[in-house]
Amino acid sequence: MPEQPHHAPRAAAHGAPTGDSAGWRHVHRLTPVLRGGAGLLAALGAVVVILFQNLQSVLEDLVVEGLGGPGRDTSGFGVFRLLPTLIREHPIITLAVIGVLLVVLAVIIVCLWLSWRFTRFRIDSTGVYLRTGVLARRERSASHDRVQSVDISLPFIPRLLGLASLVFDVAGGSDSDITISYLKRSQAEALREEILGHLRSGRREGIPAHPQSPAHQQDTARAQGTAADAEVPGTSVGTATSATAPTPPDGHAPSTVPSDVPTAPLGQRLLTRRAQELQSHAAATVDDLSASLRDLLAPYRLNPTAGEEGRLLRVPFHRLLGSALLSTTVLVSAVFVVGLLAGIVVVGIFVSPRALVTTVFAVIPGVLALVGVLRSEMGLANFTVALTQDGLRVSHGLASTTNRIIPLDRIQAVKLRQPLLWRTAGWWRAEFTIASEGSDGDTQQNVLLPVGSVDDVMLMLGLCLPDPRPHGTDARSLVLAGMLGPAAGGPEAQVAEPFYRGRPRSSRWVDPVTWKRNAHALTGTLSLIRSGRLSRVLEFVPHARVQALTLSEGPVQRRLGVSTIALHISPGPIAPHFVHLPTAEAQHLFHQHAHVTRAARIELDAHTQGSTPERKASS
Amino acid sequence: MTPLNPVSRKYAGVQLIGSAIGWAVFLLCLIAAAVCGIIFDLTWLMILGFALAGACLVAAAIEAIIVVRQVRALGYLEREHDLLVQRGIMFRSTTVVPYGRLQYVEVSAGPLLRAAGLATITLHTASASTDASLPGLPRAEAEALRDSVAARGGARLAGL
Repeated sequence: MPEQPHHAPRAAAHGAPTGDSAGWRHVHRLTPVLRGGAGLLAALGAVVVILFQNLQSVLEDLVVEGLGGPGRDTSGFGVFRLLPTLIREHPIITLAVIGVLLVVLAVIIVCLWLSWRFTRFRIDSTGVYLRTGVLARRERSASHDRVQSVDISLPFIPRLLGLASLVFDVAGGSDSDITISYLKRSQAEALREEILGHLRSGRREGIPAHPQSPAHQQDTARAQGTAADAEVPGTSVGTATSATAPTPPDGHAPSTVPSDVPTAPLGQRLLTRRAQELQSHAAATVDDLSASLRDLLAPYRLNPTAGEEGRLLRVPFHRLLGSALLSTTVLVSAVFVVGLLAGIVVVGIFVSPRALVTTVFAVIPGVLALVGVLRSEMGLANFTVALTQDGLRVSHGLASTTNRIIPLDRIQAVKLRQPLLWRTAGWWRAEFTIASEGSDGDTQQNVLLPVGSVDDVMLMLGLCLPDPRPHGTDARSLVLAGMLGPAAGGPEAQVAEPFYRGRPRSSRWVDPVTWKRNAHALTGTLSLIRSGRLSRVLEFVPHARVQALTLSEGPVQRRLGVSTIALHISPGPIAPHFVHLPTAEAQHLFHQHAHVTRAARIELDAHTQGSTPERKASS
Repeated sequence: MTPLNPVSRKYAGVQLIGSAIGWAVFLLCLIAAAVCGIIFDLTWLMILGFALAGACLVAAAIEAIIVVRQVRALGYLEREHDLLVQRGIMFRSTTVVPYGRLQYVEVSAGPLLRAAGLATITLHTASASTDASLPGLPRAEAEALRDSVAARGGARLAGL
């Protein structure tokens, strides 16, 4: 292991408990105290104080009895002054109490020391490793190319002591960070430099595999207009990306700075060619933009035009209001309120008018729920979508406007939903999942289009998804069949219905309501998953975005001869499943889809590396 | 298909000890209640205590059988492009984790597992819903698997 020499003696001196001391380093000695040990000590202190204060009078009584005279001392910690007397009079009890307290203190200190001793980390040329735990031991490791960003975090109290933690952001669930805390601030900074150094050397190894030299690539990129410029801002703007990615202070070689940013898997360009085409045009004239838009949306048989500043569509206020009023939540609370009012009237008439007064208050929660839903929906008022260099710019809000950039190449999946009452109006809502570290609870973050017609929705699909490449039918029919099918939908949708793979009749026992609508279709680049009977749902998952697959089967399913395949994608509002497929078909599809997704991924990566200079070639 | 690599048989023992500790605490409480019933001459308490203790023993025995079967059903297979993890008999599931999708790998071991020389290896992808953890591998095997999987992950690295 290539190890900096001045750390090595330190690790050796402390002697790692398991003996494999190669490169393992310890965190700062105060760490366990700062991470909870302080609380433990404070608790012990509090116990001691309370014990002494409460016992004081008892002890005094004891002592006073022992001394056989007056002379009470009620001030503060008189117990300490009484201690000698106490020891003389009741030596065993007093010493036992003090002894127990000392033992507890010692145990705490030993625990803290052990915790420190067993917390070790190692950073080498391949990755970062963190070991924790005395009894239950954990070892986490991530290779450098998986680290999205390296941050130095300075919590308040450690900061006062000049300590910092080093946070390695790795994509994944909520606790997917690897946090090394605490280190001396200078040490943390040095380590970060060291890691950036490893990243740099890793990249350098990767570059010769590239057909072009970096400088040449930059020239080509510049020749492509704004396309390359979009790469860098696209990683620092928007909801999804890590704005904390540090840029190393590498002033003497400015041309290599972009390749040093350790945000390894940045936006991978699913739409690469098209998006860049679009993006370069976005800066150019609107006519050009419309032309490439037409090109992009041809599979969906749409002919959109972009307005000024690349604006594509705007949701009219009356439509949003209408859709909010027709949403299921509002409907349920309205029915609840009306029902309650009716009940109150009945009670008022038949039982006693007096009961009426009190029960009126029962309506208030219903009304509040209604108002709450309407208010949150109004947050999506004035929803406007525009195409910019960095992706889609979405702005919405009634009183205060929220602007967001959705990097199109980071979209992992799209979901269309139509609540029951939107059917007559033909409205749909589109949501998406994006590759991002923290998907917080804000559901409005994931709205691609709050409400729109079929054509509006298809426009968004064309922008967010790769070219669908359907076999034997056209994308528009396929999507329509997915949205409206199997029974409803015009002839256009019926054409594509055979391309949907339905579910066996036996699945009605596990899914009585939706089994007829449950279906999926596979195209060259996408899985379309149709579900939902009353509230229709259609999910789109690009093959290249599938992380892992699970085939599962419960006891009831086994009796019915069906299995379910789950497609794992980044956390978000979409959890795609191929539910209740016949077992044999499911097993076949499971293994086949593993290959299909792998191939799609390779294609995507080839695409990405061909066009993104700062990506390391997969060696 | 090639047969799966099983996890260590010792893991069943570890699981049994773990559940036995839980049941033992419960059982002791019930027996204490029953003994109280005898001492204070409360027949109903005695009968209730012993009846529940008996039920407890039966439940523990059933759990023991399930645990042993579950451990036998656990298995994994390193394939060319992905790792296959299989688990469960009643609720059977097979997960495929492509090496290129790995974000990081974790090897952990609780006190009981460690005493038996075993460890749990968990593969993390960018999806939070992927539960590709494989408990009860011998420590050396777990570490070897981690290293080989991590190496292949690096070679087949794919973006998000």
